[in-house]
Amino acid sequence: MASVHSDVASTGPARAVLPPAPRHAASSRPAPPTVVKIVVAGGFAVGKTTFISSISDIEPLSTEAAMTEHSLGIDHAGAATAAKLTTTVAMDFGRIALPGNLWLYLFGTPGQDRFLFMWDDLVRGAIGSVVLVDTERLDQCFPAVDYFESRQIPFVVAVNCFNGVARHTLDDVREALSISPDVPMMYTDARTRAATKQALVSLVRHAMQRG
Amino acid sequence: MSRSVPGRPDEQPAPDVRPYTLTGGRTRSVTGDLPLEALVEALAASPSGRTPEERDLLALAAGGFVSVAELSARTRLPVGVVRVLVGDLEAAGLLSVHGLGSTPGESSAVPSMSLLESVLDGICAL
Repeated sequence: MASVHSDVASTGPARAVLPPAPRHAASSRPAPPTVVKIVVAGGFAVGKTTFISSISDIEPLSTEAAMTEHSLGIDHAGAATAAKLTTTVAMDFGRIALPGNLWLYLFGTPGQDRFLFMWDDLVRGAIGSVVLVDTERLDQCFPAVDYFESRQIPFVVAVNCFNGVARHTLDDVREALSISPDVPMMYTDARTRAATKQALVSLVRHAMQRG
Repeated sequence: MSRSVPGRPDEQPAPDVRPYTLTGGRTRSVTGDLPLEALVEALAASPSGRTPEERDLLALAAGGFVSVAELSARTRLPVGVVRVLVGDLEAAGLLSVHGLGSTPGESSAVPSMSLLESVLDGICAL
């Protein structure tokens, strides 16, 4: 029986008959690192990129996801439109090399609620998430907390102390955000490598307990 | 230090060239959606007959393992476009893609307990 080539363009060369790319034949190429990732979530300007840069081996990079939104109502300029809007959303990320040929990626989420649908892509296969909280704008982290809770993705809540000042107790923040007692919470200072490290350790431990 | 204007924090103007003109309108890679952190390795020197964007990707992947996210950041191409082009280049045998211990293109597995232990030890040792 002839096979069906539904997706093969008529102009395409004989891609289908190419052998699969050789994977680590007996060559001297180094083994690829094992890759893991942690998602850094929270509202806009809560310090996600600062957090990532405090511990990343590389300067945080920014990747863009172009998306087309099917606008059904009002565009940003206030004009009614049914056109597609193409916007690009920046996601910052960093990378840490760990012993044992491990690479840990830290991905910052796009800050706004309306990009929540992109998070599915980000969290696929992730260890979990550090949700950064600015107590002056608690409402900004509701979407992140809801998202990870509803998908049962391990997360910890790190209250970023701007200028080293904690304005609220962790218990108050937990209550205000309705965070369940088993979710670790801590103060952090996103500018500080040691504090960032502690938040990551807390998350990985939490993920192991969940696992 | 000034902050960006509130309300439009993460957005930048759309590029002059619509990104998906680079992929022939395709938004899906032939190999499925690669994870952002999937690692790419060039298998061949940059050949003729590929687009400038594809040659850029191959050149970046020639220097060692590089993630889809880094390819996107360094070429300024959107992630979706990079995924499609990487899929094409992989299908052409010009590069290989390494997943997360699972089959590339499939859903990434949740990290195993032994992997989490290694990560924990590694972070603690930083």
